[in-house]
Amino acid sequence: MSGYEILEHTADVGLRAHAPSVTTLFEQATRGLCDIAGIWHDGPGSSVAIDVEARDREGLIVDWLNEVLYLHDSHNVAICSVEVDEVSEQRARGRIAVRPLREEAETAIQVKAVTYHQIDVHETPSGWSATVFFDI
Amino acid sequence: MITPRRIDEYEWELPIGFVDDMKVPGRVFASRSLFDKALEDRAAEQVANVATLPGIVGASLAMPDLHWGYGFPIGGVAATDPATDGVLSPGGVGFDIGCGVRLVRTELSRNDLNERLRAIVDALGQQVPRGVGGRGRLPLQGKDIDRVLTEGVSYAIERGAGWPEDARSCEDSGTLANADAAQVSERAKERGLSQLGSLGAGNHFLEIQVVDAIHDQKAAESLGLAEDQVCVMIHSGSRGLGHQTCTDYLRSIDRLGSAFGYQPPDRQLSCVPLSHELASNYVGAMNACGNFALANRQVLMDGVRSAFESVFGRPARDLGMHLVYDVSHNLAKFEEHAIEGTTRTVCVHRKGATRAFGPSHPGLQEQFRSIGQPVLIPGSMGTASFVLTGTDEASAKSFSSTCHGAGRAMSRTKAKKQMTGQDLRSQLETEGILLAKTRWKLLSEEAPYAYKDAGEVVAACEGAGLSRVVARLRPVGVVKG
Repeated sequence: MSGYEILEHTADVGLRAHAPSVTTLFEQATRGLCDIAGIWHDGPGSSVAIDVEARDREGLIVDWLNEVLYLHDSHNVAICSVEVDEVSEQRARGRIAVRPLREEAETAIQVKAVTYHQIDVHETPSGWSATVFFDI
Repeated sequence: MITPRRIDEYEWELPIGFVDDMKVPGRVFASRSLFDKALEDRAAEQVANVATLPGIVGASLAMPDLHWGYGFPIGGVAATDPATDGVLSPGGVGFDIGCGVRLVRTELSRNDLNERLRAIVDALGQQVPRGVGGRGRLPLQGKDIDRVLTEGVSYAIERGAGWPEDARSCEDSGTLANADAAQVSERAKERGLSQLGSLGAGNHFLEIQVVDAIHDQKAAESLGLAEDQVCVMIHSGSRGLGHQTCTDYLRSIDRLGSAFGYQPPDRQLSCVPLSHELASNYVGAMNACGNFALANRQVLMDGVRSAFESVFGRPARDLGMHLVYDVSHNLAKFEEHAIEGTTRTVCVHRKGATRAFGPSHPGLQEQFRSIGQPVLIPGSMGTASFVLTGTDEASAKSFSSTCHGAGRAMSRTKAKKQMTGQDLRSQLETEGILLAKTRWKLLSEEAPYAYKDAGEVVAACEGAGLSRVVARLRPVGVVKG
């Protein structure tokens, strides 16, 4: 089973994602972030590659999600799909599809950044789990 | 478990041992009820976590508006000493580097607004870009961005956004020294190019306010404030440029892992010794972002003046629209403070806390020597804001720091569940507070009930001796980011 839940925080927002594999975990976390920010739009879009390196999987998920935020904020786009090809100990590769932000701008909230606060990625008996907090 | 100790009515200590590896105690300035809230939402634990930073001096401090943050608590202050291997932690400044508040006064009184209030609220709503994807009022091209990062407010003024005398009414006279645009990534600059002069979203706002109480007549007169006077408050920061810069440096520092022998209790507290190249690069980049934030608020203020000019049909100068002051509440600064009997230069991290130099501090601008540094405290939407001044006493107590706002007390999800945006709008309008057209669905995330009472916060600051209350302002018009 894949999915995510939103975690309460006094000022900001957190996310707990779970998935059968670490690649689908990153995809779920991306969906969760875009859900929180209100910038997901199902449909076609232009593909943009993401390739990040970090010292461990926790660092990777922070970097991956920050790439998504950077693309959204700097190019003013909504995210249409996500595919993660590989997540090793120190590298994650894949792509997202984007299209210009339109009606989503009316309900989008500004996620400033992905934090390392209580960051966690670990394997569970049924798959993988991640916890991430965002600065709003 | 070691429990907190009450020192006096507005001061609490988290003794060494409250969490493992604390090098100094934690100290929270708060009334009992505000301190109880800090214990409930884990902010107190974060104050203690900050006390584990290498080279921290005095105590890990928190202001009365503290609440749960990420790594540092919001409202946290930590001074580190370069002479004792003190560290720099970008998380101790936060993602919105240089975020702050400015206050513009007018010569108008509440009655001058009357039937024009709706028009001026709407004009402000149109003049000020805001929300997600908002493009700024002052587009930049190519290397313009480097001049903003180096010059701050004076660049905006040169481009026609404001008056020459505005700069002297800002902290650091509108330009942070030691800014190094070369240490800001191209990505961060790319995000900044289109966003200069935009409010942003979340808790950023612009408010028309009326001075409704004067507590310190001498200081109020010195700042040009009087009862019933119309003012405008602006709360914004360094936008995507600052967010990206913090992200960039956190990543670089995180990659070093525990190379310096320090294992932070929370990874967001990652840090490097102040003597490390990454620390000096960050300081150059942080000051550059601080200059962007200052210039951003300057351009926003220019939009406010234009909106008033269009509605009142008079030049902003005739309307007396002078800048009262501009403060930043997310910065780290090298300052002189008396520590254990000797004066030392320390790096004061303020994450949601405002510098508040007393009248005698050598770093204070000349024109404020009789009253102390002005401090601007925004309330939550629909509640009072405050003007304070710094005290000499605060240098020894809080490295000359005080609060930065009301401080959140409720999550955004819970706030939205309590009331719809439209219901909140109706309630505020019943109270005489008009809102510019906004994304109504999101309005109640920032509802007054989601925040602590700013009045209680500033009273605790005054009770603790960190600052003095000069004036209270109540909102009559809100333009939400």
